[in-house]
Amino acid sequence: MRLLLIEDDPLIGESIRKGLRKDGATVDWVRDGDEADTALKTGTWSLVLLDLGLPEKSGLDVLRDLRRRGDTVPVLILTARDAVADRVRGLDTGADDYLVKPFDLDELTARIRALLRRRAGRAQPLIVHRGLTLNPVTHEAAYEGKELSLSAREFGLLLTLLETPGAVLSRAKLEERLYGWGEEVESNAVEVHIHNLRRKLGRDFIRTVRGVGYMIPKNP
Amino acid sequence: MKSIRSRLLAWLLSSLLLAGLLASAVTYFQAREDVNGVFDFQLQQIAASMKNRRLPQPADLRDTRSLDEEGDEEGDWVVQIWRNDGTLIYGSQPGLLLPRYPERGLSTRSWKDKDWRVYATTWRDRTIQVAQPLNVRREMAAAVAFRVLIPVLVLIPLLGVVIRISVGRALRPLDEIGASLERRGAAALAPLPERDLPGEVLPLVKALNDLLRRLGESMEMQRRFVADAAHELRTPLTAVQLQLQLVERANSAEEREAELVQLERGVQRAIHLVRQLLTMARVEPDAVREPPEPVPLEETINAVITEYAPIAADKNIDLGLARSEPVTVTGYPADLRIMLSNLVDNAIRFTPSGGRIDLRLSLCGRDAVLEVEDTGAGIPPGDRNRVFDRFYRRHGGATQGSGLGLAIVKCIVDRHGGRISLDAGGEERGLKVTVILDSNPTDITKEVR
Repeated sequence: MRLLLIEDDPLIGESIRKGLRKDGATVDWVRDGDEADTALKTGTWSLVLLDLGLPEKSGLDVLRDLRRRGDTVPVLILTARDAVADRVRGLDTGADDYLVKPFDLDELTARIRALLRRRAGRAQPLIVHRGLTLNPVTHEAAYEGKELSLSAREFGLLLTLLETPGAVLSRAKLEERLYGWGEEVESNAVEVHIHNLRRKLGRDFIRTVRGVGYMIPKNP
Repeated sequence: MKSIRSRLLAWLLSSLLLAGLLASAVTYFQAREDVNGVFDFQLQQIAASMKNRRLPQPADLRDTRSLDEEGDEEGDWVVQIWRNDGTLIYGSQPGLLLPRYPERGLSTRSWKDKDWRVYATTWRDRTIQVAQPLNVRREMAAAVAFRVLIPVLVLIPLLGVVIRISVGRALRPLDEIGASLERRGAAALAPLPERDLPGEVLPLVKALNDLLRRLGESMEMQRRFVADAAHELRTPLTAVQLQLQLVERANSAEEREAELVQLERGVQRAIHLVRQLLTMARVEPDAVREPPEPVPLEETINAVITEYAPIAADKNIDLGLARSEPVTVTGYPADLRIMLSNLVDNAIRFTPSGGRIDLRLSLCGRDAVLEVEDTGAGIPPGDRNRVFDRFYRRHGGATQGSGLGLAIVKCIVDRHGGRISLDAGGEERGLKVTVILDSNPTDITKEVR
């Protein structure tokens, strides 16, 4: 999962990025409203973490413009403003959740998971599909009753494909979702991960759609 | 406690009593004049009436009852008649026989420890002398004077009651204001009603309302400051909390070490903010303080440069005094030092490694001119006014200040009645802060000499 972090404070931004990365997420970080606008117009993210007190353009304005463009990406507001009126304004402007600083890293990751779960239309935290069980909290995976050992990238790749079973994702799209800005990506990285996953889950679990990309079918 | 009511009462009643006494004294003297005139005339009348009277025999001095009825009993008249050879032929009161005085007409004599008014006249071969003791006249005058005093004495208790009631009524607005202030909570600063107040009380209520208004403004300022401060503290505390959790999750010793360094930075930032908040509260214009004193600015600058030299050296910044003249200003030494420290601290924060910070102190006429110039990023003209606002931070740069440094500087400059301006440094780069304060007059006289 790839997140966009919009936060102007260097110490807080750095800490959130490190903390979420440990949790297996890919985090791109922008530090002002204008940069955030540009990023949101050009890229796609699973979720956006938005600070309200931004230089150049306020977080609420960024959010308003985002929703006006019809973008439905989940937005979690991170702010020091804790008045009820501020929360109401944030949520009414189009945020999906609101977290007041200072917050706990565990709470942040839990809320992120909850938002992503809701987005995928799932009520339970575990992702279960054709004998495969993924736990996004603990990063544990099991296949046909047996524990499965997956690397962070492999886990992320499965999670991404299972967000919308049946949808075809291109190699470029998957790369974008798995790797942050400035990260070195081997040209065949996605193929290597798919290959490894097929070894562990069998050939048919992930299908190749020739010339388009990869998918995990809804019903076998 | 001195009550207006009892003071008014005492003043009014005592002056009334004094006026009454004065009036009766005046009456007494006037009455004595009048009584004198009347009785003197009577003396003469009695003497004249004696001329045609058939007198009893000289030997028969004791038998004079018939004559006494003529005289006024209260008047205490003493009538004596002598023949020209000096034989007393008549005395109205045998017990009281005054000597025969040689002068004719009216005179005042002293006889037997009493003052007497005496009238003597000569008729044919006789001398008629009529006398009356003066104390009779005095008693009559005193009686008249006392009668004048009676109504005043009756009036005093009556007036006392009336004054008490009327003063009580007139002072009721004051009592009401006192009661309404007493009932209030400490935070209720609504103005007192100014309608229907007597002219004497209105200025007091207006002054009170003005005080309440200023108190309210000051409380509101404090409240806003506390709210702002709490809000501002969240940011460094958030960073600290996140960094602490990263330390807990570190997988290796090196990673933990690196996170601890970050954590320390976060804690340092929180400490810096708290320190600046305390300074801000201390330099607030309403803070109580000592009277200002002469401050030799040169010493302050040297102390600040000494303090910051190691920090500047760490960042490889050349910090120094480019020009200095002995200048003394009147002010608060601790505040002026905080002001300079903040300016130098800012300059160091925003000047990259290898840069230069110059301090200059000079005397320009009456003005003490202090400059801090750096070779950092500077502040664009559009932002130069906003940087004095509390908690305003400019975007960009990894160094984050508390947002209070320049607000504190401005506060101190204002407190000293000075001016501060921001310009670009030399060659249109960096920032030059100029502070102008009133110098002590002694420097000017030195300059003239």
